[in-house]
Amino acid sequence: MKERRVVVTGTGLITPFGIGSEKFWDAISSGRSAITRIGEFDSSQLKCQIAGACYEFDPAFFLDPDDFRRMDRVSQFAVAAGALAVTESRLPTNSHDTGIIIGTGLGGITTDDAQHALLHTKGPRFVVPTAIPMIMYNAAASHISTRFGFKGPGYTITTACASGTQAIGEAYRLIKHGYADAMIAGGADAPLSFGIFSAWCALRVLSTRNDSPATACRPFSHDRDGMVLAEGAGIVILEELQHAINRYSPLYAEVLGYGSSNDAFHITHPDVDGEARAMGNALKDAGLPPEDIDYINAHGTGTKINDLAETKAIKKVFQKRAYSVPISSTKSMIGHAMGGAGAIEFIVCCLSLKHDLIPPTINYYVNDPECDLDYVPNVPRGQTLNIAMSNSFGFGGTNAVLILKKLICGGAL
Amino acid sequence: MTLQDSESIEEQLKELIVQEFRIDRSKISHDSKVKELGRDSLAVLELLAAVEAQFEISIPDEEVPRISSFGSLVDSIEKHLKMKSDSA
Repeated sequence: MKERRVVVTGTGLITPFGIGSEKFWDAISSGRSAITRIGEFDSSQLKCQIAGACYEFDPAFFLDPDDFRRMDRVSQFAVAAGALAVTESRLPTNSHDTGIIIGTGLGGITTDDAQHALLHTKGPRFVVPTAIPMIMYNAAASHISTRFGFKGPGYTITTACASGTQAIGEAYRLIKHGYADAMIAGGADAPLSFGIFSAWCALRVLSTRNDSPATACRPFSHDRDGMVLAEGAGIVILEELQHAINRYSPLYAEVLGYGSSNDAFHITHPDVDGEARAMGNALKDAGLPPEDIDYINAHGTGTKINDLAETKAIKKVFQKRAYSVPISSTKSMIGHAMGGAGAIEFIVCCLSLKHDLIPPTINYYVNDPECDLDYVPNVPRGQTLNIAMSNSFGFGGTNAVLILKKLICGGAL
Repeated sequence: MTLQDSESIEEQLKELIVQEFRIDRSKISHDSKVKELGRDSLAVLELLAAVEAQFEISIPDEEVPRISSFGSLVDSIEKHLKMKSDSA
């Protein structure tokens, strides 16, 4: 069978910067922060009291009240981002040839948290009958596919922070190998519940710069003190190239490669070899040498351990090129949206290629002798970009990397 | 909750259904099918949970299939309120 090429024809974003990609790009391309004090619950007892929350999001804008009250916030995000992506791509709905893969690290955790509170304060009969369909991890995929009638292959991926990237990568493979002509794929998480926040605080990986939310997340900077939790969703439409051309759909970028690996090392500690193998696998799949990568959107969480391991992994794969390839962490601006993060960052790469502009790593104040690469500190950088790489490394040891190429409409494909 | 007459239970139940199913009160009659008032089978379960909370009763699982109409739900509520009052 002739090699099938896979392109991105639609993007949908729900982020702490608001609804859609325009506001999002406007903010991250100018280096603004979306991190604020937590308003969802009383955080006074917590060491970390800041997050990237989607305060502008109103489910009523996208959904009927009877529908959204039966959805956890994670499904509301996913359906809304999915609707934006479908609209943008003009992908026909009600199709047996369109499948779905959604990644989520924690599923309907806000509902889970709230129902547990009811259980323990009022008793078991106060747990609502819709709790299970709201909490289950595949609820988001079910709601999107039901809403748009996408009846092709469908599943849900949960590999912590790599979930969204793996969802897009596996969707790309299904199209490439002929199992579907189009896929809706991406990731979502809504982890800003009291219970989950407390659990993250207990893990001692969150920034405690509560007095300065906007400058709290400092990936690769020597004075970094942890990551900042966020919520949101990124959903894309992937299509086989000819399928997209035949229906005159917008073309954003081509997915050139996807690589995944498992550390088989530790439940939370990153592994340089595992991360390097994922990048290497993606380059091999794309048939590219490291020199061809123009930009790396880093996992870049802002923890001491992650940023050092990622730097070492990039050096291992890119060798000399590691010192000249621009690398940035957009988590410095929106925080870490867990299963949504990789998908949001994949869209960052699409937008960077489109605009020939690299969003910066903001809050980079102090050079770290061990993190000595070009992290595009504080200031966005305009330069011609053809190929970008997006890294996601999840707790549990799952690593996923995607490589995208600019598509020039009207030019040679 | 003190023992209530059928009329009072009916009125309270109608109010609950209006709130839960977001439908017009005039659509509810003694013979209305509960499944048809709500949008799907989950809606019926949501209504039963609301009924249990409001009337502070517990409707056993095996009784649920027999609750098909608005009238039979009123009967069920009445029965369980009486059982609760007798055992108090």
